[in-house]
Amino acid sequence: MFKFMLNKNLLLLAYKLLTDLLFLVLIFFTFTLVIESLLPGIITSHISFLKIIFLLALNLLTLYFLGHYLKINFPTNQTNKKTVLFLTVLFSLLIFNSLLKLNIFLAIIILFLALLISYFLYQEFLEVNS
Amino acid sequence: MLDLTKEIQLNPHYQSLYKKLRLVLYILAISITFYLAYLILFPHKYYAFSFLNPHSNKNSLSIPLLNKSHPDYNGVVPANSSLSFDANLADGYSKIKITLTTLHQSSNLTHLAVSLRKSYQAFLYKKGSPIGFRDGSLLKNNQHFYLISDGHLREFSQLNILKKLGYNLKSFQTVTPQDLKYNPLGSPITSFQQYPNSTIFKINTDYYLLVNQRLEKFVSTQAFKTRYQAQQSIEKNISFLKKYPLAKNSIGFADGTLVSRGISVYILSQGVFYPINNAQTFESKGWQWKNIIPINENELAIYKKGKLFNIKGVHPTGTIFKVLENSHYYLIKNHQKHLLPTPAIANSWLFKGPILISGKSLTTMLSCYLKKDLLSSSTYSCETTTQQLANLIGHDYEFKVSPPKNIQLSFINLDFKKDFTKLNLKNSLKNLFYKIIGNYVQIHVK
Repeated sequence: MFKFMLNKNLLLLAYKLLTDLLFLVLIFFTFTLVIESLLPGIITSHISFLKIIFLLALNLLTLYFLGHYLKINFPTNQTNKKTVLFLTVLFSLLIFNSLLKLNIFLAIIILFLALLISYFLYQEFLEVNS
Repeated sequence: MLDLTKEIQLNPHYQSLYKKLRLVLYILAISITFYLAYLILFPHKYYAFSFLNPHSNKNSLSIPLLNKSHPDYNGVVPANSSLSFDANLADGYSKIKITLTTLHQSSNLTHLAVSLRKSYQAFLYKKGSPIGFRDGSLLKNNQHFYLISDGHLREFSQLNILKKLGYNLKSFQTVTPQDLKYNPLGSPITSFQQYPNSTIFKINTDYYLLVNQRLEKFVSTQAFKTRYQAQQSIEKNISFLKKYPLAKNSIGFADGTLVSRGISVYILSQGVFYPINNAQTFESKGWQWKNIIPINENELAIYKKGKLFNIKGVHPTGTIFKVLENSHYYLIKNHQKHLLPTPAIANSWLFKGPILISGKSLTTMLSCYLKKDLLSSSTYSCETTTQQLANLIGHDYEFKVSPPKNIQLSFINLDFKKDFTKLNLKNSLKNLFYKIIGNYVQIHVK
């Protein structure tokens, strides 16, 4: 049984499937965020954000330990500018949407500050590491 | 198919297994997405009440009533009495599953009928005695002139008295003897020294009503106009205020008036304003946007704040229903519905459009017969379609159980379902669209 558990191919298979699952959960999470911003409660009345985030965290942790155990190393890619642009636009829209009931100028200032903070955090944690 | 981990190579056997499992994973993800879409587009609405915890916040049904009058906190239903409970919805559903759970296995509910009808909860109130004209109404029949004073029909003993008091003959509404039957007869008005109660005065631009020989001022002209017409008043100058003491209270809008302040809409009744929680509640109660009167801070200040009027809210005192089939009007007053027996009487109470209602909703009743559930010895359930009730106005369901023997219930559960039909899909998509629009577009009340 123990031998079966440690079968490297089986673990690699699990790793590949967990990566696919992570991709699907991330897509689901992104769509949930967008739909929830349009109609609050429409999805979270059926599946709470907590459950989705818990599933994401569990998936990431398993992938991390499995990758560590299997010594899987991916080359660190350069930041994809298209992805960054897409994420920036998406998060800007989500933040601005949540601030719609505020004064328009206040909403723009808050959005600008949020983007500025995100940029510095990104530089602090990701750019330095790379 | 997209391979996210091309760098990781598996042997052919595992690679083939991976492809199959990945396909299963994607099919599973698509199935879950469709199931979620099904739950969103064809939703269920659950209601529950626990007699074991009757005051729990988790009870989505309000406290069931014994014989429509006494709250039943312990679930005991004596033989030949009835237990009724209401569920309030915002839109239509196709099926209802009713589940009753008994406290002990001793009570057998098999074949017990659960009846249900659909209307507005207030329209299902017991019928009270018919109501006559509103106080202050000026009426004439042949050469007889009347004032409705303190609810009584008081005749002016002489035309001379009427003229000396300053009433305008043109403001008297012609009515039939039939119309005059519904206000009890009061003593005739014989004095021109003193005005009878319920006389309306206009002093400068303000309106006053004589109540217990004190002048009560209307908070505004638009508040006055929700009750009376300008020609019903007697014009006086400012010195008239010395003749009668001024009451501290101001008179507000007619009970049942819808008002708005900013983007909030309120229903006014008996000195209290109830904020309506959202547009869905507003529309599901049959109110119309055009009937809202924008008011100022001073007009709202004379009211006390009531609790939030949500989907469970019942039309308050002052609400007027108009039955579609026979054009009869009913006035809701202190948890009873009173017929406004003639069109002339109805007109004295109406100032804005009434709420339309189907008269058939009182008589159209569905029944379903409980059966014992297979997996539980104390749970009984039945399911019925609501097709017969679909065209009736109102979204409040009233359920009633009348057991022939004493029973004791522990839980009531209701499950409203929508069928998988093109029409329901269309309605759900339309509702979602309106919800999104509602989030972004403010409704401006003229």
